[in-house]
Amino acid sequence: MTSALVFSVAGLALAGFYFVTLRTVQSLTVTGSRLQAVLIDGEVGLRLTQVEMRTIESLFKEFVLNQLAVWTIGILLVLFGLSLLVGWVVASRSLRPIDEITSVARDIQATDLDRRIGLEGPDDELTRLANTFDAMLDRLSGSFRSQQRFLAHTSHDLRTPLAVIRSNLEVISNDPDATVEDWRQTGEVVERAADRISVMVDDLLAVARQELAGATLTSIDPAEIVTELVSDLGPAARADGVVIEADLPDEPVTVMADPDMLRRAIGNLVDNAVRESQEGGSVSVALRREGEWTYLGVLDRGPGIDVDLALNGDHGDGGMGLGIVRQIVAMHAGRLSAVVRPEGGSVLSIAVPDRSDPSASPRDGERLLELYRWSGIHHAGLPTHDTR
Amino acid sequence: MRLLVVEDEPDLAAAIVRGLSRAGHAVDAATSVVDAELAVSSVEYDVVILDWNLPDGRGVDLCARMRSGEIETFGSLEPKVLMLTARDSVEDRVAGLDAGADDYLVKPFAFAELEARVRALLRRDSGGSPVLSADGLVLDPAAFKATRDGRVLPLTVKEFALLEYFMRNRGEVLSQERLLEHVWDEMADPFTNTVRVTVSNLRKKLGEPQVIETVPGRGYVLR
Repeated sequence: MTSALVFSVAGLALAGFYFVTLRTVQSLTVTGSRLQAVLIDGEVGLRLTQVEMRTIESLFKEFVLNQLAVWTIGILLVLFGLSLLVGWVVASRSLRPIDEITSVARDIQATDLDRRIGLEGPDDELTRLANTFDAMLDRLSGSFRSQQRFLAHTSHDLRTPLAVIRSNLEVISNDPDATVEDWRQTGEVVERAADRISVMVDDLLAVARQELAGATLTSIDPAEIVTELVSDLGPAARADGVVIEADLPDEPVTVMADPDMLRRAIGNLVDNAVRESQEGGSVSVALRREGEWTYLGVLDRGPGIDVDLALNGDHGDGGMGLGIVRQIVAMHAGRLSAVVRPEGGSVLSIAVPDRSDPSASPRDGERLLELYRWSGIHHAGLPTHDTR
Repeated sequence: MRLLVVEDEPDLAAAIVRGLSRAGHAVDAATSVVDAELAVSSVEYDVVILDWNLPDGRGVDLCARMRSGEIETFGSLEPKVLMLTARDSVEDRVAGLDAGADDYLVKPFAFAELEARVRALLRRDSGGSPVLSADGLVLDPAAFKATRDGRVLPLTVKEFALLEYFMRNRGEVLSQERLLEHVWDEMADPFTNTVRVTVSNLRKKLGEPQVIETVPGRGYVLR
């Protein structure tokens, strides 16, 4: 567009020059013919005329050449000035987006990833650059926010066991009548709380490492993870009077997942379920497969959790370690669901897709419960608990 | 004073109950919103220590429902509410206090501070002085020290709590049931003569002239 502008300006100038020269030449011709008419009257005149005509002709040529030189230089100067001007305008116009990108990039801090360039205009290289830049900021701020949330939750979760340790130690050491048995009990309480803290710190480190390395998705059989978890966590749960059982399909299931991460996520869900359960209760770990989704559900028969709290991560006080579960599920492009079962207890379920862009959403709510309906049926002999 | 601790973490609840009981309070514990609702609607608590996140709901919501009258608290006095939570942001503190909480303490906390805050809540309605005094009787709950005319009284925890309750409600006739309600916890058997025995022991330790009178058929009063 700008080159068209320069060309048309140059064209106009040339046309103008042509026109002016034409006019000058025309008027000179008229003057010449008048001279001719005057000189026809006498011989001397005629001779003179021939001389004059030659002089006039040379004068005319000189004049035209002069004119040509003057106008050419003038127009060249004007064009030069004009091209400078046009060049400056064009350059500053086309460089302005770059300035904008630069200033946004300079202003953005790690804590303020909400700014965007939002460049508008034709779909050219610069707009695409700005859009790419914005998209990168979207991704950065997304992962930054999820990390911040995870950190906030985990540090919140850490406060509860810390409060347990601190209060118990303060109360026992201010009690002059405390017996050795009291101190022993306090020791056990502190040990339990310290165990929980170390699990949370492990979680934190695991996430930090994973964020650095990225999840390594391999084809695995989740049934193996479930079986291992049940045999690992079973004995401790049995000591608390809770039975953990695996509920696996007959056909083998494979899923693309990071085995360590998935084990950690399900392990946390099972830990929570055991803690939610009352003595004599049971926890099922169920594996289901439907369409593009693999479902791993942990069912308890406790009083039923607050679904909103579990999913939206309002877990300052609970120390439920759901922060890391959410983080892991997100790494697998999966979905975490929580449903309270009408017959008592709750289900926390992880759905992992076969590929990163599944065509349908996984089951949720009522439909999720249907999927797990038959889970734990062979444990019907165990006492179930009232919802409240 | 009668306190309710609503906390779902059993190890923490146990420590709070134990520590506050040693300070002379009668302390009950609830581990869920449902338990807490049942407790406040059947006992007149002086202070409720409330966790924010409970397995079946949020402590702040419980507090707001108590304040709006949706949950009818037992007795004529609204209990004071102290939020005890791991949530430390300014927004959370504001939300907690605006939901009707009287105080807000963030976990992990120093136990001495929790005790001091409970004492501060208890004296809000009774003049505000941290030391109670009446006719030569001086009672300092923070120091767990009671004197009569300068003489230190060797009171047990229960006797001390009983005297504190009498002094906070001076001139009022207090029935056996009311004393049982505010000075003893839910473990106390309402059919024993524990109140009568403790009042009688307290009278002996206070010495002459008698300050706690018996109002036949109605209860006791500190003149």
